[in-house]
Amino acid sequence: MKILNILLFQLFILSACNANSIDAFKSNNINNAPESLTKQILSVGEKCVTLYQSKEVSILEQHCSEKSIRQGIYIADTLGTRSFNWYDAPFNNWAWNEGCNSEKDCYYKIITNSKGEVTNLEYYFFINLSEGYFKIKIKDNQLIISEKKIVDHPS
Amino acid sequence: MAIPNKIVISNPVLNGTIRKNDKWGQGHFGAPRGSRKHNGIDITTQLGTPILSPIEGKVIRVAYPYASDMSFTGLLIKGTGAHQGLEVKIFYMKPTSNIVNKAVKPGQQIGTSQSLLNKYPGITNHIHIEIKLNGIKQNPKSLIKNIF
Repeated sequence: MKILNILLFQLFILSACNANSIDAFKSNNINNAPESLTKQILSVGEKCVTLYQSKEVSILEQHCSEKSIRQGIYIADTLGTRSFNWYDAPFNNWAWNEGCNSEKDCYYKIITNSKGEVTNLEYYFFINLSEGYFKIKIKDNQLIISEKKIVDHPS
Repeated sequence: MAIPNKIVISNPVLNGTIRKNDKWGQGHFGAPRGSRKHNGIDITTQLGTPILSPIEGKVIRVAYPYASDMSFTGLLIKGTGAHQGLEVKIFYMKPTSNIVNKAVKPGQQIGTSQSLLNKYPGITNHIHIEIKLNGIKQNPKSLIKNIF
């Protein structure tokens, strides 16, 4: 049993070492996005999208309902480009309509595995008088909220 | 960024004054808010106090200060004419019905004040107003004549 525990602990350490956490901030330069995402942005129009970028990963939020590509989140990583439905549509729509208090107040923390594939997202925000985060897992091609916190501040 | 001297806006509350100190903080621009600073000013009201448009503009939409409490509302107004370039958000007010997409003049009633007392017991009831000029946040006090 003791040996098993040690092995499990070593596995845990190994997997933790392989995971990589990176921050992606809002970008106004679509030319830095991967080609596949740039095409998506051009097809829906820049007014419909928010692009978050790190060196390794790009995240695109597509907000316009009347457009040819579906609303939701597009992730470009080493796997290619994948699209997902909103993790919380009322929240995502509220956040889009109201806008972040400053560009630094909203960002994604992205967790990738050793192959550079995104496995988890964390979205941090400060919008109007609400502040908080969503922790999101990618499971079966869906974004699943594992934890969220929203704090309403008095003005 | 320097504000052009000629821009003056109306007080959204008749004879309204800036919220002074209470246990939740103060209402002036830049007042401490934890690790952040207050982005606008708070003008004291009572439940049902008429709220007036501070600018000439168009009401763009109803605004919601909170992500998960839609009972609190407000308005986003974009300036036109003499107030071109201004963008005003007012929170904690119930908009007048059918005001969205309407042109408004300074002093025109656009809604009534809500009550914050159940959500934040002990707070001085108020509305919150934020102003941007060409996308840059401004201290509303510097634009409103005779507000103390």
